[in-house]
Amino acid sequence: MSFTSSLTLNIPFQLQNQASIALKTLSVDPILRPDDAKVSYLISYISNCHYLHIDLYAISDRVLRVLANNIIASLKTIVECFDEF
Amino acid sequence: MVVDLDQHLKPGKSSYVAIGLEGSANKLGVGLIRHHPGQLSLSNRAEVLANIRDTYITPPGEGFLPRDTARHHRNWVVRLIKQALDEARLGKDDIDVICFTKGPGMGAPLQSVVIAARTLSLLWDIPLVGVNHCIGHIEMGREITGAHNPVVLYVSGGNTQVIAYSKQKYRIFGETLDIAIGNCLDRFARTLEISNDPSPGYNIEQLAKKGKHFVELPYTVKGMDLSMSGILAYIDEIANTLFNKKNAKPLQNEEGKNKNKKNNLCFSLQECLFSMLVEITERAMAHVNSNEVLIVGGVGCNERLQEMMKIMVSDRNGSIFATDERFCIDNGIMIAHAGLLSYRMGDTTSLEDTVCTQQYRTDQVLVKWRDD
Repeated sequence: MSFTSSLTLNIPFQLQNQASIALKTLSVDPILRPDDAKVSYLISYISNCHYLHIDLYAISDRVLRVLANNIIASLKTIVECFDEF
Repeated sequence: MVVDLDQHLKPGKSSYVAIGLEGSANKLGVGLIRHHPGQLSLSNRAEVLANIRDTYITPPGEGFLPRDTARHHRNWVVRLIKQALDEARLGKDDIDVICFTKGPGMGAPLQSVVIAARTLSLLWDIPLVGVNHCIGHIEMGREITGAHNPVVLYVSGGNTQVIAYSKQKYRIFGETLDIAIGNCLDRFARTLEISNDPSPGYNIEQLAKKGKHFVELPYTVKGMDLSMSGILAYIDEIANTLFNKKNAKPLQNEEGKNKNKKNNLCFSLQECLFSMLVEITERAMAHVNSNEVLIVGGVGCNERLQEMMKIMVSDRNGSIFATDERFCIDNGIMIAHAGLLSYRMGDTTSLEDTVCTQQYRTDQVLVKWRDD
């Protein structure tokens, strides 16, 4: 089945290291239903900022929403760790 | 033969410190533990540096759902880690290993905690160790009580198992065929709309203390295994006929008679379930020729269960070991302890292997740190 819905998240980080930790932490967990959705990660450096780009593809808006929600919730924990430690 | 636990002590350090993160159900726990070199023994005990917990408590009549529980854990996990480090007066440089619960448990809550474990591991450059939740309970129980080679009764909200050690595995002798004992008690608490604070099981225990009349319930031991869903359905039906019919008095209006009926039902449910546990534990003791029983897991706090087990064990001239709520109920320290044992044997979990699994049986773990 083709992925009809898509979304890109661009998350800025202060340090390269932070972007790469976020990428490693997030990318470990497999997508529970690979037929329904796909995620890819990329790090880039644009105008003094390190970005983590997350491309999400899914077969429906609903699946996309759940996926994006989960990733953002995890990102919040990751960023909180950076802030506190 | 004795296992050498000290092949991996970092140069320049005189002890090991582990942090443990637990979040497989509705409790979020963070613990810090210190081991000194050498075999753990009564004179060389593990040192608890911090052990804190935050429980997600739902309103009466409601259970905890994976998504909400995960949200609770995410909200608290970083704060709790910080608090534990402050309490132990330790920094990241003191920690040798970060331990987390790999399974078994609810997927979403497990995953929300492992995210923090991975981030800290990468940020601080400290290795990770994934721990089997049941092994955590067993090892912490052994360490706290000093039990040597006991038959372990592991009773909690998600698990009911009778376990004994043999040839580097904790082997499951008997277990529930359907729901766990804690689940059975919790769900009956929901039917009666008993408070979930501090835990439904604790509140049932208090009501049961006032119960006197035993209501006959099905007794469902199947060989070495148990089945509890039928008992729950049976007692739920009794409760619903008594309290939830149109003409029945509302549950919240606790007048004399209804209160008594509630007490008696709680009492009967406990007596019935616990006698089943005592029966299979006794049979396991006979099988493995052991006269020690160690009770671990959240339901292990129940004083009536401990009392009933004690009666059986003293008939066999044995001894019973149990811990209090700090170590019985899910906690981070047990994860730190079991993880550290595994780390001292040279095990670490690579990042790719840190994916949590909802199913992870006790006998899948090779117990390298024991060799008896």
